[in-house]
Amino acid sequence: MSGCKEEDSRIHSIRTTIRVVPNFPKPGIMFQDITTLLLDPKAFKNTVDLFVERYKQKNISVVAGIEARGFIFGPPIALAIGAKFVPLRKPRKLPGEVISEEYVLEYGTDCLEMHIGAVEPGECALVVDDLIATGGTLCAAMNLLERVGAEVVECACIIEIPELKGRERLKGKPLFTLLESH
Amino acid sequence: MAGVAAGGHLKPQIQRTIAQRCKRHEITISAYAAAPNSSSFRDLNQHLHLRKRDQPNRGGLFRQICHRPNRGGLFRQICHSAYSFNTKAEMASKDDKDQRLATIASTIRVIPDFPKPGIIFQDITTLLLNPKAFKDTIDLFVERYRGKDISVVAGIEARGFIFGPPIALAIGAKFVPMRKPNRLPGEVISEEYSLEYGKDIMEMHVGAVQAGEHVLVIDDLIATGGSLCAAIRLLERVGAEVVECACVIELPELKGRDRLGDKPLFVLVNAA
Repeated sequence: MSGCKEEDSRIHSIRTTIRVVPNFPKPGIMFQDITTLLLDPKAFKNTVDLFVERYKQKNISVVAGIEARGFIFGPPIALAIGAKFVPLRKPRKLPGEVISEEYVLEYGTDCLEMHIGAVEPGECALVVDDLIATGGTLCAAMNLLERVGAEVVECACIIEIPELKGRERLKGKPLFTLLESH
Repeated sequence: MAGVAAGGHLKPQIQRTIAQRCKRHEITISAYAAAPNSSSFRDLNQHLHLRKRDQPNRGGLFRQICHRPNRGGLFRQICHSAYSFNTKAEMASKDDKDQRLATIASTIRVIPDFPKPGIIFQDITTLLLNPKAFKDTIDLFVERYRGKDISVVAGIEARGFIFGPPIALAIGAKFVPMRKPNRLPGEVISEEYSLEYGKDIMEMHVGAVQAGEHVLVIDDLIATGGSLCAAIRLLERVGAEVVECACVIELPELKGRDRLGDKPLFVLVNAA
């Protein structure tokens, strides 16, 4: 029971430090802003700890973080579990040879890229982003990793927006999130 | 062999100096031989015999034990002992640091003609693929900044987001992302800065940093120093004090360091 209470208080500290900004980036969207979480060292540490506790010693050798907020949470997790960190980036940001995956936005398409050679076939990978909405970006990330023969063990986000049903878009891959936002 | 020699004493100030030196170098000295009427360091060098023991120095004063030829000079002995005591520890830690820096440098990949012809791009993604090198990178920064009263680590989008947060977490500071325009929600302040061709804008959240806070600015690399300068200006506009800028890589020919003016810059690797 006391274990549950500890968990609750850490989740509580994370929940209360996330700021909601209405009408960003456009009218009607309630934006979940994690920058205020980053201003609270204890809450930030709790966030990373909750993921690390789940993923250490699970034979995960790759943490892939989605640009740009996945770059904030992915590396501390990677460092703590001894995995490499692989940045998944917008087009033309990564130098050298890349593979690209196109994905659909509400209006139009976008593209995610990964370095060739960053991930070996058979490696177990975790995909990290701050938030899952429709799941389009996470899906593209998973596709990139699977195309080079890696196994995506799980996707991990701080926040899930359940109404947008992103979880269903992950082709059956598990999703772990700390909070839901309604 | 402990004992009291006949004759001779050390002037108190000389005793104090020797005691201070020994304390500073963590040498404990059990006994000394004092030259008769020794009043100068030169006399001491000629006449004193120093023995180093792991016994507590009794009261910081010296005992006279015997008259024996001084072997190699008191201060040289103190310094030598200090040197050999400290040097081993220093050398070990310096060797270890050099080793870590060598590993870090060896994992950085150079990509010619990116993003355009003529530019030699320093790619840190290969460093991130080496968990030891990545950890060493963070450790080297954390060792420098821990316990220095830094309450803010500001990281420049996007590669500063990779190195800044682990440092912030380790030193207990907040992490503040410095972003391209229109990425940060809510109220921001903006700073324009020059690129080689054209301009760019950097933004920071209003209220993220309080006046008087001590800030470390992080990016993966310093080239001309334009982005770092913009970050410094944003932080100073809200009354914060930028303590230092820290990068993994410096391109010294581009003289970014000079552009930072009075702000110190710390880097791990110089890329020629």
